Amino acid sequence: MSAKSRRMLRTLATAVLLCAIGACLVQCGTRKAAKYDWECPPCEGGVMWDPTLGGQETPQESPPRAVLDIGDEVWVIVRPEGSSAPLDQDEPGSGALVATVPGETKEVPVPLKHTEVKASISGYIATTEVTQQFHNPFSSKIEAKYVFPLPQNAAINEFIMTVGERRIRGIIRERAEAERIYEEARDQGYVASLLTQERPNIFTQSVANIEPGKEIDINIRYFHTLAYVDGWYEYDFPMVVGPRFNPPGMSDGVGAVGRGSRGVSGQSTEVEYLKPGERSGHDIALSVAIDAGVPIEEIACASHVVTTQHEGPGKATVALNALDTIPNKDFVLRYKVAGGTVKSNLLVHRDERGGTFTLMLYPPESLNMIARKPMEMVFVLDCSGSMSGTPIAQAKKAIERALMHLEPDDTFQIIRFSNNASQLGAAPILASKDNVREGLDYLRSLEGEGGTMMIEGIKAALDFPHDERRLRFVTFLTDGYIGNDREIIGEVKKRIGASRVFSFGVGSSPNRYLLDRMAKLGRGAVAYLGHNDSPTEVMDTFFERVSHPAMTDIAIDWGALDAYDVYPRQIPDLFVGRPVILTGRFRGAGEAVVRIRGDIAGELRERTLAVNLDGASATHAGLPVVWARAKIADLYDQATYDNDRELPEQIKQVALDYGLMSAYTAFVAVDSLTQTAGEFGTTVSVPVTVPEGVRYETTVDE
Amino acid sequence: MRRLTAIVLVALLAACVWPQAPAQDNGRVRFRAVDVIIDTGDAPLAAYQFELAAETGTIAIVGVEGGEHPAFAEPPYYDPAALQKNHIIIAAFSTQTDLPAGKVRVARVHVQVTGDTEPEYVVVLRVAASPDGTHIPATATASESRGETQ
Repeated sequence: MSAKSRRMLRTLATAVLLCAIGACLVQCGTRKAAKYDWECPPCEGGVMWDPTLGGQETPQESPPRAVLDIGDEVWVIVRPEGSSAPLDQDEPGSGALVATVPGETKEVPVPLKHTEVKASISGYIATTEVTQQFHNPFSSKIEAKYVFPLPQNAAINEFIMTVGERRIRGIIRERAEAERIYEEARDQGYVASLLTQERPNIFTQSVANIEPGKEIDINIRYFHTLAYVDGWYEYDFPMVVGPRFNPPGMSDGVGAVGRGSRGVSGQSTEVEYLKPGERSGHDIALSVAIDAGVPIEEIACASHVVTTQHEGPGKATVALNALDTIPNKDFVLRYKVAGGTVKSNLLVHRDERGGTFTLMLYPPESLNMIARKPMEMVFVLDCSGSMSGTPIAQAKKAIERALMHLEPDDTFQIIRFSNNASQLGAAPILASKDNVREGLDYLRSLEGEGGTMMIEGIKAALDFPHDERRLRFVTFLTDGYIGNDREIIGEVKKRIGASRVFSFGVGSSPNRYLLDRMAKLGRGAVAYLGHNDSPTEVMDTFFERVSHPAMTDIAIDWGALDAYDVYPRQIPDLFVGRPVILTGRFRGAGEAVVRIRGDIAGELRERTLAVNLDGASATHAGLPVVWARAKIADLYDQATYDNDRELPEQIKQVALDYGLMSAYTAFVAVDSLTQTAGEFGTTVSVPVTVPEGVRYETTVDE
Repeated sequence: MRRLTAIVLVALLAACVWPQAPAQDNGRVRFRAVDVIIDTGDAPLAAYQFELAAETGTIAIVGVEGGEHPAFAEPPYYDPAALQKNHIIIAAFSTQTDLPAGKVRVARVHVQVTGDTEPEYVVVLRVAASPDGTHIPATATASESRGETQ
């Protein structure tokens, strides 16, 4: 078949299904960046913007690699085929575990055998395919339930159930309807599966009627944009949901219970955790193929042991090492591209639905050259039980470092919260040497124990008397292990006032949805402090960011692009090292020039971007899905502080139109040709390990 | 008496003319598979697009599976927006050199059927194309699957 014929066929078949098919043809990237040009209106002492922003980032040391040292535990998992265990057996033997610590670990059979993750990155858009391999290691039929995390900005638009050799594509439905279909199929003995969203980063996978010894695979595909922070692109894959604390009286939270204690938390969603000394055979494999489009300078993974294969200057494949396959922490991959190659760019795509674009807007270089004003720094430290041990030690080191950065004109305050909130003083404290010393003493006295009444910390920090002569930064350091995420996000929006919220996710598996949204609605930025990250480096980077003014009051003249429905609706401020991504629809055609104006320390700056809306460059087929996901996220945020009853309906409609997961839609798949005998059997949850560094005893209900 | 007779006659006439209320739907739920077969004659099939709907009965699509030939074995894509109208638009293409011709099952659609009325399926073939992208005359039919059940 000739190339021409193939092209014709593709055109023909994709004409009606671009929204679905095209998503896998994403070809976004810096390679196709639009032409751009910086302009600075004449002004006294004005600083010209340098268009080549990639070259001046502060040189970064690569995050330390996780390596095995002498004395570390090494697990070797041997899983014999075909073995099964009775359901009522407490020590079933679906596999044999051989460990270096004899007699200490009990193998627990679980219905999830393996997770396979394959990601590919093109430019700043990642496509990830996740395969969950369910099986039945027991002697009677089961329904498997697995509560698992995915990135909070994942646009999930593909769901396939594999039964033997047959692959059945799941259908997006209104959530209640999907649940009803699944339950009816399950009760009649059909093999069926259901994917629901509990939080933007927590999902439940249900698989019905798995017969003993049988396997059923679930494939999920999603897209998301990568974070670009201080010169590094970052790809994250969460592997476990951390144990959440739910305030008294709450029932729609996320409960954390021990294996076999289903129902004790009283929450609508529950995660079952393996007890100390227990281990499941569930493991994970992960690989990421990077096509940066420009030369890659450095690749680093602080969270896991990885192997890297370079396949050219701009291409590499990173894979999880076979010795690091326990899914108990976030996988965090960072890579740095050649200096000077990262630029603001505008990508466009047009299909039968109209035009869609994304605009990645980089901060102007001149931000680095303008000094900051005096600051009022409020540190809010999560001292709950889940933070005890390594997480709180890391967080305290970070605050310690931050206190050292303060100048005599600055003020500070330290607020702690667990079951309640308390603080160092009643008002902002001048950052004199003596006061800083007193602050350090107070900080060292703090320990992690008790619940996570984060609302108390929010109130204490955002209602705190503000010194109007200073810029106020409220810095939260927390793992975010709470079930009332949305209440907290809504409170941040309501109480933000003159503050800017900077959230630091602490630990191996923080609640990135909460932390990201707090920072977003708090007009700040988010950063993460993993167990293998240096608190000093993370805090130094943060101070570099807040030590210069942000570009504020950004307004965009879209010109001939004729843009509409742009998200986020309120354009965020631009901080040093932190670009923002906007996505929207457009009606324009031909050549367009976009003008971006903003205020830096009282001076107006303007930048222009030229883009061709027609021709070969307008073929970034994944953009409509990215746009739809951004719109859903924006509406969902709005629902945390706005009682508009139309919002759920609007979210649902966008999700159905684009075939996307949301709080109000779900994927269901039924194999109507595989009807098993008898009732649907016992429901078995997939118990997971508590995240690395988190103590079971202080976080999980028995 | 004449007046009473007239009323009865009118009532009987009305009962005959007035549209019958639909049969009582007892809410019975079952699951079925519908095979969609395209007949291309001698021409090899490289791409298709069809629209499937039920003319009678109440159905909900609950899964889409690929066809019997390796060229169309992967589950095809559907248009999520069209799905909301209680029918489905499905399309696929193949760049393989070994393509099916004649009668071939290109897709299997799993449905949930509710109520006593058995659905009658209608399939409209929108596109059938050869490897060089040209339209080929073809027909499509849909019928309940006779696939193996465990």
